[in-house]
Amino acid sequence: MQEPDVELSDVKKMYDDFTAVEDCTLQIDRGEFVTLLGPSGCGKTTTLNMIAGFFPPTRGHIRIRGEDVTRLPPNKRHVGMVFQNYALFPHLTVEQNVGFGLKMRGADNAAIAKRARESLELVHMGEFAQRYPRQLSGGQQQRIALARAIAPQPSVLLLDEPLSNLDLKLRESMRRELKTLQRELGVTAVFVTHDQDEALTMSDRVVVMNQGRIEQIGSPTEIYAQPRSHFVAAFVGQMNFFTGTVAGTGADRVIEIDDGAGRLACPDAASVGAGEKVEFGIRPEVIAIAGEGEPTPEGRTLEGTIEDVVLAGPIIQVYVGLTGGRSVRVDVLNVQGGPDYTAGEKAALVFMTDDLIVFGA
Amino acid sequence: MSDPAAVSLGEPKPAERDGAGNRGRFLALVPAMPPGLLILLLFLFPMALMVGISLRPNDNGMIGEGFTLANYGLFFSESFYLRSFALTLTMAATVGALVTILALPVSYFLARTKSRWKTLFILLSIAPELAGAVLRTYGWLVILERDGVINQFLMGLGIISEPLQLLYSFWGVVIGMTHVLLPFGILSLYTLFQGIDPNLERASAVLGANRLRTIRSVLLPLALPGIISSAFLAFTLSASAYATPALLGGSGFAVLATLIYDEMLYLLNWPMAAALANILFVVVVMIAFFGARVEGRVNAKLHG
Amino acid sequence: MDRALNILFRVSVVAIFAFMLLPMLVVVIASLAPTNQIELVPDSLSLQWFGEVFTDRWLRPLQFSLELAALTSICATILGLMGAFAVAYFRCPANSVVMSFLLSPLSAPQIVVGIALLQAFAMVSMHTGLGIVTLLLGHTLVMVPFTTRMITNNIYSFDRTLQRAASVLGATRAQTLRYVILPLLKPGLFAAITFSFILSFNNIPISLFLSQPGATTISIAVINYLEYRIDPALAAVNVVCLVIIIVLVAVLEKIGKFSHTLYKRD
Repeated sequence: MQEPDVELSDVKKMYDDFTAVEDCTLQIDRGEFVTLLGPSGCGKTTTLNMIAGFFPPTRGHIRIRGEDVTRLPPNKRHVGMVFQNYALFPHLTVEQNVGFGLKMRGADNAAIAKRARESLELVHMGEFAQRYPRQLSGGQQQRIALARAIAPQPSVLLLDEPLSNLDLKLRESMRRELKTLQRELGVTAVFVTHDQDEALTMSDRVVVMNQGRIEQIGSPTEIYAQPRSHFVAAFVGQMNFFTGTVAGTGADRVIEIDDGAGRLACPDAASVGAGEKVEFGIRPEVIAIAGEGEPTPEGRTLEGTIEDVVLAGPIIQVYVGLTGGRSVRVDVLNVQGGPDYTAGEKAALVFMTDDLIVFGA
Repeated sequence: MSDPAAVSLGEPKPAERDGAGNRGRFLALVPAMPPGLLILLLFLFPMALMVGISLRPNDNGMIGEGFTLANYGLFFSESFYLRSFALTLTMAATVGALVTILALPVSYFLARTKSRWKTLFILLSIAPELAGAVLRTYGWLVILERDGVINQFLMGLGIISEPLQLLYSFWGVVIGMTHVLLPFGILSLYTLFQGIDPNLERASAVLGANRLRTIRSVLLPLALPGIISSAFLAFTLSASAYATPALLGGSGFAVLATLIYDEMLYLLNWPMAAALANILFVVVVMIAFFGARVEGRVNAKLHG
Repeated sequence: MDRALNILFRVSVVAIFAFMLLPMLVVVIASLAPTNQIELVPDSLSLQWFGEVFTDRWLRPLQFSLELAALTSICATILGLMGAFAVAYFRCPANSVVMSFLLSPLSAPQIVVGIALLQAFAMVSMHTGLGIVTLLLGHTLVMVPFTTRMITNNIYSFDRTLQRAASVLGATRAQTLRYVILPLLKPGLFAAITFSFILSFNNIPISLFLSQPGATTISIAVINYLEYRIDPALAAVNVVCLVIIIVLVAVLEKIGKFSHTLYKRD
């Protein structure tokens, strides 16, 4: 086992009385694409800035390729960074921007020019070498910022919400391009975003952060399918939440949902016992609405009334009110000749027991 | 849809310390020392000295010995000084009002125009600043003279038979001062109007207001803080101007600034000149402070 | 009614522009007058008065003013740069207090500063015989607040993540200063140099008290002359001054490209 490229051990950062990051321990392997995901203020950018070296952690250590860089200034760390606003030097041409890192490290002019040109080719911006940043569009500036970051061949590439200033279409194509480039170069990447789609589509691993702490680390699939907390479940994707009380034992355990909405069988994997208050969640797309004459098995069905139907392109969102007033969102595929849903009609919701994600209360 | 109920604290601003400790922070004061020393020696010390001189008697063109309040007493008892004080305030108030009124349409035009000559218009409106007060005052001398441009023009048309006395009059000085200070007013109101969203005016129009109503109910209330600050700035600058009142007002036109000059360089009464200068200083600071208070109050009303 | 208002608005804008430019136009026409009688519509034009400009009477104060303005703008810009660096770049402790201190000369009318300076210089027997020195000190004092503010605004206006970008790319603090900060400061420095030059060249209140025989600025020379007579030679002097200033601003703008800092917000 090779040592990790970036290693954070028990890192903590305080601003006066405010704890921005706490108990942050993380290992990132060479070539890995890791995303720090969370709402604003969760400490993800602070963590990234500490890896870059803009300020030292209050406690803990940061290692890059085995070297302890905790007290090293940014210019000695050999990392690359793409900033949210790109931070291109307005007084330098594109080529000078890209060559800046090599120039600072004392490379000779020929080497700088060669490497700058190569980097620009990698992001398909070769013909813009002599332009100034203000003459370029947002997407083009973004590519230049990326070229500038990779030109000195850094050990780690840090990306601080680099796509958030682009419009939706461009953002989606840049995601794939960025990911492809990162894989080709084999460079380790730490990516910060508050956009769950970005995190899920681009990353090898996702680190979900909340209020300065790491909530969960896992592959996109794990994060989506097995969120370990209410926060992760709510932040990543859509989730219907229920609270209830466990009854029975072993394989016969059921969850009695609060407000008399019904009861559902408890998944075998959940380690909860009789009498325990639990919270569980279920994603809208795994709930089925039983059609005419389809089975509605005991322990996997809840009855309700359709409250609202919203057409959202490829899917239809059906909001179903349960007994007790709880509303559940169900996503069904919008297929030609599919069933019609009308507000006011009765509906039976059918669940697969293993789709229930139980958190404990 | 990701809509976490998590508290949004906003990414905390990193303390911009760049690695330097507290000693580094105080070292940062070092470059402020040369300009600070200049201000200490050439501004604060002379100003304090002048307060001292104003409390000394005049001894035939020399600074006398002892301590006296007579210079200030003279100012507040002698009608000559009080009249010139009143004239200074009247002139400054008239100029302040005129500058603001004339700057309003031009600055609004500059802020809203989409003409490709916009840069040229802006240059034209600050061009008088390049020329300096002497050139412009000289221009007004030529215009306002007894056989100057205006009188030639009016007499040529047969509107008047005798030349008007335009030079060496209150209004002659006011016209010249207004001209000198207009670029300041235009520039400050220009930034103000740039900061007012044109959509607010469109919204008002869509809601049924005509232009006049929009100006009265939307534009002017939003512009009021800037209008106040521009008026007070023009007031304080004209209250302390020397060249224009001296040249366009003639020897009979005594405002504080021209009095100070005469006391200092012709009468060689330094204590009295110092007292007058201190009075002018205090008046200007008080007016500026009052203006800032009014502006602050209007702003508070506007933005809660 | 909106139409009438619109017409009134346009007419007033044109009229105010005319009002602003009229005196300058009149001075230019007067400088070309064929006789020493200034006519509104002269029969012919002549350059004879410009000949008078190039005599010792005007050339000496003109040269003196240019030297004074050049020295003032350099001194004031260097001092302003120091102050702005302490306040905005190094963020020295209590930087708003330091800033207020550096701007404090603005609180007093310049004529008050002028007389205070003359009295203080007299106190230490520096008021005579020093020629340009006292004027340079006085002018620099009143320009430092302007240059400090301009350069400070310039520092605040540029994106501070650029410094981070430079340092991640391996630049030391000195390299960041040389390759990033100073080039970005260029417009602010040139604006400061240009404005302090113009303001010094046109200054009256300070020069009024600190000028002496042999060390008189062109503005004061013109004012002194105006007390006796108005003739077209003065118009020619003023036109020459204006042309010098315009050429200078154009040249500095060409090198420093600062004009956008004037009328663009942030």
